[in-house]
Amino acid sequence: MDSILVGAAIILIPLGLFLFIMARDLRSEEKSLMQRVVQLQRTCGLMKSETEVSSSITDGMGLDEGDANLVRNIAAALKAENMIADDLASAFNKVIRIRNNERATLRRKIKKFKMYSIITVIMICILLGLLLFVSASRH
Amino acid sequence: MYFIDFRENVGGLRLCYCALFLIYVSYLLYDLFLGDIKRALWTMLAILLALLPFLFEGYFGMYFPWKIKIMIILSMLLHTAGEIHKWYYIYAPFYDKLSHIASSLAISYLIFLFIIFVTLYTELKWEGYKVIFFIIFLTMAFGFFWEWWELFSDQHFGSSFFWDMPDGVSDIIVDFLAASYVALSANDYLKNKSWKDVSRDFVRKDIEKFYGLKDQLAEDQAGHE
Repeated sequence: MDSILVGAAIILIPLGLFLFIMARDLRSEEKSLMQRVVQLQRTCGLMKSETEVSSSITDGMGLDEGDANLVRNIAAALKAENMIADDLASAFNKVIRIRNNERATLRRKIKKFKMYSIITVIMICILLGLLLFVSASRH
Repeated sequence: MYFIDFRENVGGLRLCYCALFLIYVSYLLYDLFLGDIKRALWTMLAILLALLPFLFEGYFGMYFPWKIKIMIILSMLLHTAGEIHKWYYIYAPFYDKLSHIASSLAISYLIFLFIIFVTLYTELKWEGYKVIFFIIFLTMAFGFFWEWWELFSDQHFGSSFFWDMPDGVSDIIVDFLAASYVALSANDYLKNKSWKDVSRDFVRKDIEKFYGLKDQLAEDQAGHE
């Protein structure tokens, strides 16, 4: 029994650490995406009245550079189409929708990753259990 | 110079893989001819393991470089041939070390591929030092686990895999050297490639939407055009 525990520790501790660190990094990625959405919503709320599209609008508001660029590009495209009066607010809403979708996708992928990790660990435990059973039956 | 070179000569490597596979199948037939069912079962299991990369390619849309597929089948073939021809004992301790080098290279590359696939799937950006650390760390864990298995098997099943402590320690050192080589070449590869390049190297085009990379790759393709 002790011998099996040593074998289990040798393989499960490093594997567990690896999967734990990967899951933790994925969680922090999801958190940072969530913070970006919150920041976008806050900035959108502050700028509801602003309709002019310029770099100064999205600069210095604590927005992620990628988000700011996306807002600017979408707003510029909307303005060029001349279809919506409030270009910037619409652009913000669109970017918030995109980021929310990304977050939902990432959450789904993290769930899948965790599920496969747990299955792997359980399968290793089952294999070690079988080994214990076979070795015990020979004595 | 990476070990993983995607300008690889696929035709030649495929031929090499097929030759190794045929040798493996002939060992299986030899076991069956001798009526050694126990060994035939182990050989069959090893052949199935050697075919696993194709299953992953079909199911997940991953691309396993042919050199890695060859490393996987070679590491298992060395083990089987060593047991059948008693090369482990005739050419001791060198044959064992050769087998450890092949196995450690195969395992290290599989760990690297696993990290690449999770990174591409979740778009997690891991720094080079983390990749290096985990390739070495996990390969060493598998190396220690193998040594533990040798000891366990000797104690409980009457085999004679674990000779003595110096042999076990030198096996671990060889594992470490092979893992370090892979870790450094993986770091070199990642340093010189963007994630878009990596995704193009490791994900099959027809299944890229599975990884949520469709837009990224299309955009990239448009850039090339």
